[in-house]
Amino acid sequence: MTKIILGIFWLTFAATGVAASDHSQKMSWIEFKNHFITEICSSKPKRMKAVLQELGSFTVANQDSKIIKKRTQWATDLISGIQTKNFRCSKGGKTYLKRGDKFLNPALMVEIKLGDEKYKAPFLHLPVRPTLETILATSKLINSFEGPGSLDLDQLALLEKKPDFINTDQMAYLLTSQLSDSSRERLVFVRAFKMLKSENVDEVSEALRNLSNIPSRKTLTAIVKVRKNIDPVKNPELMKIADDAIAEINLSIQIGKAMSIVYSGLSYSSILFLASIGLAIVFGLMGVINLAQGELIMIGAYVTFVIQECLAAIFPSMLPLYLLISIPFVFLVTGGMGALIEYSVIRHLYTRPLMTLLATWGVSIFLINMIRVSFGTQNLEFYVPDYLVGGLSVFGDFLITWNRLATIIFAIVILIFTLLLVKKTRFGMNVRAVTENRAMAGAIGVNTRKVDLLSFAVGSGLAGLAGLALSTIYNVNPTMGTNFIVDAFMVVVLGGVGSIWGTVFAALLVGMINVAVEPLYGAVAAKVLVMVLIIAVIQVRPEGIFTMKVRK
Amino acid sequence: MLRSSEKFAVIFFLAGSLLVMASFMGIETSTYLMNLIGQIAAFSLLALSLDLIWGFCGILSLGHGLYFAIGGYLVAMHLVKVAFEKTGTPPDFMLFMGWEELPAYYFGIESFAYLLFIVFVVTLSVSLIFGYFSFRSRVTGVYFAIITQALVYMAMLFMFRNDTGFGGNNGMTGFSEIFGLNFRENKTATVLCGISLAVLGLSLLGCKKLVDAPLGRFMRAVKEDESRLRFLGFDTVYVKLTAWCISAILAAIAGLLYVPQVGIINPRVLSPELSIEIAVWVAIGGRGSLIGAIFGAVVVSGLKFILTGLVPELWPFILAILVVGIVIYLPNGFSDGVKVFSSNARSLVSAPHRKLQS
Amino acid sequence: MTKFDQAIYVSGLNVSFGAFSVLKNLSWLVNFGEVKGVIGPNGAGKTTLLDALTGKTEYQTGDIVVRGRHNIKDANEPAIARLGLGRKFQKPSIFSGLSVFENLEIALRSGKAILQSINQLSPHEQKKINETAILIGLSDCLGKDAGTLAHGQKQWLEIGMLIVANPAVLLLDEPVAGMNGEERTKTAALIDKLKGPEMAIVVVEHDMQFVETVCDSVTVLHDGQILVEGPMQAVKSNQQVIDVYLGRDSENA
Ligand SMILES: Nc1ncnc2c1ncn2[C@@H]1O[C@H](COP(=O)(O)OP(=O)(O)OP(=O)(O)O)[C@@H](O)[C@H]1O
Ligand SMILES: [Mg+2]
Repeated sequence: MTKIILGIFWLTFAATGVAASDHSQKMSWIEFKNHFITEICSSKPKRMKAVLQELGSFTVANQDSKIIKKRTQWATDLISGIQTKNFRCSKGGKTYLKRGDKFLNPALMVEIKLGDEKYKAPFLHLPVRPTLETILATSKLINSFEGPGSLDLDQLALLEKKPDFINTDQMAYLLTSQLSDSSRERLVFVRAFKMLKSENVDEVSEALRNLSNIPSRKTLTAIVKVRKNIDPVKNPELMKIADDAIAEINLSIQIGKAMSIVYSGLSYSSILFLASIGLAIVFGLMGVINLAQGELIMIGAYVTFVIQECLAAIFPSMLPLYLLISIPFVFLVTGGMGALIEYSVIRHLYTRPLMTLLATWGVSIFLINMIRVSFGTQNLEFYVPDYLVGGLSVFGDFLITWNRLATIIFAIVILIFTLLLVKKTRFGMNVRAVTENRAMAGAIGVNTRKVDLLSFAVGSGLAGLAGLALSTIYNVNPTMGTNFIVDAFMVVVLGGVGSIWGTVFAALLVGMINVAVEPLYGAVAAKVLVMVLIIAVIQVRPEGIFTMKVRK
Repeated sequence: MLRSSEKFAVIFFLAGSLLVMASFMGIETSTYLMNLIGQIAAFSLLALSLDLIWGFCGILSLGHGLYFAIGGYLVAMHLVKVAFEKTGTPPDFMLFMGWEELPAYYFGIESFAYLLFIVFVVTLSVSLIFGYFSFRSRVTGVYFAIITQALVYMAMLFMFRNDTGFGGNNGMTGFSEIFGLNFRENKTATVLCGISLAVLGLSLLGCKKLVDAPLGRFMRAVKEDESRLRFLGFDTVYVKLTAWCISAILAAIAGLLYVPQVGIINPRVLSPELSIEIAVWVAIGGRGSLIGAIFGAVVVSGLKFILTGLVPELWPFILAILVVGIVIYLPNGFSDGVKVFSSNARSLVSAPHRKLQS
Repeated sequence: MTKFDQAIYVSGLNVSFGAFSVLKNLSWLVNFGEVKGVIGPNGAGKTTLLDALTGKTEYQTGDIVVRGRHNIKDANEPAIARLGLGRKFQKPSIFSGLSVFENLEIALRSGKAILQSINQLSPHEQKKINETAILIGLSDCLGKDAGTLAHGQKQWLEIGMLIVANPAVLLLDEPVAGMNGEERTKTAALIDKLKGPEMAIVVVEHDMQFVETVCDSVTVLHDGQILVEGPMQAVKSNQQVIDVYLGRDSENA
């Protein structure tokens, strides 16, 4: 009970304190203008800051919108003048505002003749500048406002950067105007940040309530700071509101974090899928694993790089589209390489799958060193087109970045393409037939060697596309393949051979586990977890989760 | 061939013992040469260990570097502890982490007997657990190979961490002495080389005895037709597991011999490349021939020593071409190479597709 | 007749691969002392039946009881084999890199406990191997690599590998496929020798004449179900069997 009484007492005291400081309200506009000019000419940071705030309040201390327009116009002109050093004061208290080649009386904005006194621009100390900028921006905002949708978003963005320096009266006035929902929301938050610092308990609690809707780390830090200064004895309610707000924001941040983990997991899974679908199909078909798959990914990225450089040199205007333009080239080059590997190496070893591992390893060190010799070992610099920069802020710290989104969409497109290829085309039918029973398929006239060659080429081409997809997200260098190959193995083992959906599922699983566990317990823990999972899965399903039963 | 394994085993053993004796009689040798021979002997033992499991049991491991590293890291711990007892300051890689004392798991490892015991225990537990779960669920062939590779890769990532007490990225160095012999002395290199050769000889003999024993016949039966063996009432898990664990222990001993001679161990011994290279030695030398595996290790690692010095840029290309060429054209590696030069050369080259087990 | 006269008792057995049902609610009995033939067109499910009996293929429902008391539902292949079920595969499977003697030795040791299988062979075991080699007519080639044997000899070696382990039930999948007339006669004689009150033999064959010579009774499998069962004479004249086999008899003989 006493707490409440004390709280109320504190409340009224605080309120009168705020009112008392607002002595400028009693002046007339013209008196204030002169007062303002004198204070600015003092060049004292404290006084300048105070009077700037007073100016802010004064611009909106009227019912008539026309008058407000006039006042904000004056504030805009004068503050811009101060910033550009077109406003100057003499030692004797005379001032001018230079506009074009004319000299004006700053209070009345009429032309004057200058005497022979020396005029100096008032010095802008660093602490004054944010206030100056903020009041200027707000005044501009109010001045230029014409109705819903006309809010000057550039100025708004300025305010969002420095919410501590805004003038609450101006802000309150702005909020009474007809705003679009999104602008209103942004303004509310700007004001809430400022109000948080206020001595007024009502304002603080209102601010807290408003802020808890915008879950970001910045908000959280601000509220935590404020909470420290709240006296739990005097303001138990406020404390509770602050705690609730913190809890709410924490929860939202956690959710946002979880969402961004899921999101980057999705994008890593997409790349894993691209990297391993070829492995899985070929393993199902021929029972061999291509240890050079990682290097095909790497080559895919390098081909993308070459295309980018060529475009930059020949058609710079097409450069932003290089990723799209690269798709066919990457697919053909890496697919062609795959065909070459199949034709010159794998073909001779199809009865000796273990030897294929060694031979393709030989191929992989050959490729790595070929690239090392011709491009060097450093990471490649990829140009990131504008449309892939940044992203859409969704929730808390969760940002849908465009480059990752592009990867996910790309993988989905490739998945659909692969499904169509395997399920709907003659080639796909042959692949399935040979996977199920090679001898039988051969006997009914399927050219199994050709099926092998083509599938290997397609699988390699897809790996190359994985390289393309990851080029703007991960480091690209000659040895990058190794980082993906082991995860790709795990996908194949988990997903089972020759099953597209199995590969999708396993890629999602492995990708998610990696992305989710890595930041918490490190990369090793993620790999260990996947490994344990694999061992556990093969205890029950030795052929992988989704493998079709094939007669051996 | 039967005789030759035993002959070579005796030669290795005698050569090794001679070297050790020579060093104690004060005969000076070339440290460089001793180091080279000693390292190659360690690699040969490693190749032998893989051949036992791959050549005789048909199980390809692309992660045998794991067991090599277990031996290597444990002996490095021993050497670090010995140096610590002498000087009282931990090695640089620990000072760097701000550690004043060695972590608790270094307890007792200054004793060589304890070192041997712990190498045995750790290797056996790791190989037993991994082997049991894999063989029980009948993971074989390519599947098994890539899982072992994933395992060694995982171990590499772990060892790359700096907070493990195993030197992280830079590895463990700063050894001062072994069996009271200072590493700066010429004698030490000779003794280590001699021991490596002698151990190689003993292991070769042991492996030979093993593959000729009933257990060896079961191993070959597993390689030939594992399911036939099962339908005869034999649970193949145990044969495979036995061979696997013996192989792992040999690999660990190889690591134990290797590290004192090079004076450093870092996570790169756990890289998938090294593990695949072991398989390459065996493939080139000839699977299923103990001497062939040793031969492969000697030739390839010898070439590597020479060529990385002469033409470092070219070595990877040479290795790549060597691997691909031999794997395609000499299915049984060097053993076929010998035949190529003998009478039936023509038939072999003209019929590379004959039925082969891999 | 007691339960213990039953070598194999199958009831309500269903085996399917995905939606494709291979054995449908099969019930079947083989008694000790009997040589049972199983015939049926290609794809009838004969091999699949042996697969289910030996633990190679999982079955969805039903029971298989061996030697009157062992239900093999959850047993794995080695455990089932140690119950005394020896199986010869349709495709000869021997260890071609090992000698004939080593093949027999491994087979002999396989059924034993793991530690016993590492010892040197006892004189008794040596004798057993030699006797078996004589029985299957391979005593002259004990030192030869099994891979170098003739096709027929490989089949015998595989049978030898089963009998050296003293089985209770022999399951022979197409034991005379690819053999010439003389070899078939020898095989028939071998089976006759093996026959005894303690032994049950199942012969899956396409060669009707061979089946008629060695088997006491015949089961005709068709489309995963038993069509008829009985002595060969009766089966041969059964109209259903004739329909099923129409036009195939000559092809497979
Ligand atoms: N693992 C499997 N997966 C899919 N289908 C199978 C499998 N095993 C057997 N089948 C099918 O079951 C059917 C029966 O096969 P089974 O081998 O038992 O026939 P069979 O009577 O032995 O024929 P044959 O006389 O040719 O040996 C066949 O159609 C075969 O394709
Ligand atoms: Mg059959």
